[in-house]
Amino acid sequence: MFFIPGPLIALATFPGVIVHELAHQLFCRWFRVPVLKVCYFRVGNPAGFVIHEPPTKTYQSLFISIGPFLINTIMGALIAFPAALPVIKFGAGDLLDYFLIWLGVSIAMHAIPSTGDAKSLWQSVKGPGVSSVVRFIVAPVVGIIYLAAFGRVFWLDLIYGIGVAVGLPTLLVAIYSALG
Amino acid sequence: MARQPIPIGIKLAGVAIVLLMLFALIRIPSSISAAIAFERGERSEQKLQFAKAENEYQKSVQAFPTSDLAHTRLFVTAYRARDGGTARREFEYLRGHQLDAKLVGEISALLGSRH
Repeated sequence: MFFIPGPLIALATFPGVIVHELAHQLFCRWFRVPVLKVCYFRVGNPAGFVIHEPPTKTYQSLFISIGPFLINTIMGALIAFPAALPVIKFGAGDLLDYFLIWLGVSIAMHAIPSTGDAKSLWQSVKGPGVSSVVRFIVAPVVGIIYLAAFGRVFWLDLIYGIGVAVGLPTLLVAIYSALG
Repeated sequence: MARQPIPIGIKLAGVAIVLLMLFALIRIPSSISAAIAFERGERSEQKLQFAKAENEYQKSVQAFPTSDLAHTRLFVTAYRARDGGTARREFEYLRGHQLDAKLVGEISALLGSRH
């Protein structure tokens, strides 16, 4: 397996980092959680971050943490969808198609929440006053986030990005045409 | 409540990405239709229903007129369905293009098998 420094990957896929941080910020706004500082992109580790006050409710924490996963996945898939089919299925992509695939993969590969997101989510359920049922629901989410973050070492984020942006359209067409 | 403003550059980038997404959304139906037509064409071809396959490949070629693969499949099925006009037109198109070896092999085999 070859190693490429994180900042270089972030630089090559910077739109995904911006969308990820913007999604955090927008979820904070929707839940009226004060945001203290936002870095949309930088060449460093982490490539971007949002510092906000602790949300008052657990569901707010949950959505602020996994919000970028939903937004980046949906946006990445939709942007790349019509471009992936001519390139993958027909070998007839133009420059715009390749640009849209790059953008879609970049956005989708930054969908995976960071360990920082997992940490703040766990902090929100760790304290007193949170029922064990909520902890029981949140714990696997936190575990999955940590596992996915660890998977980045094995290019899980890129695999996920390509899967969402390129694999999903191909799979959906195959399923639809098999059913139809 | 402290409300961190979103910089104008980020807003513009966000608007650009949303516009690209809308542009992509407009293209999704025709891409899906063409890809599904191609899949159906392949299935019909496997069942030796060449006229049906030709009809499906026509849809793919209309959506992706620069796809050599779609043109090749259309040529092969039109030839086998004895649609001389389409086969001739597609052959003329393919003759001017650099095709990959597999497609060239298939066309050569098809023409070589002519009785």
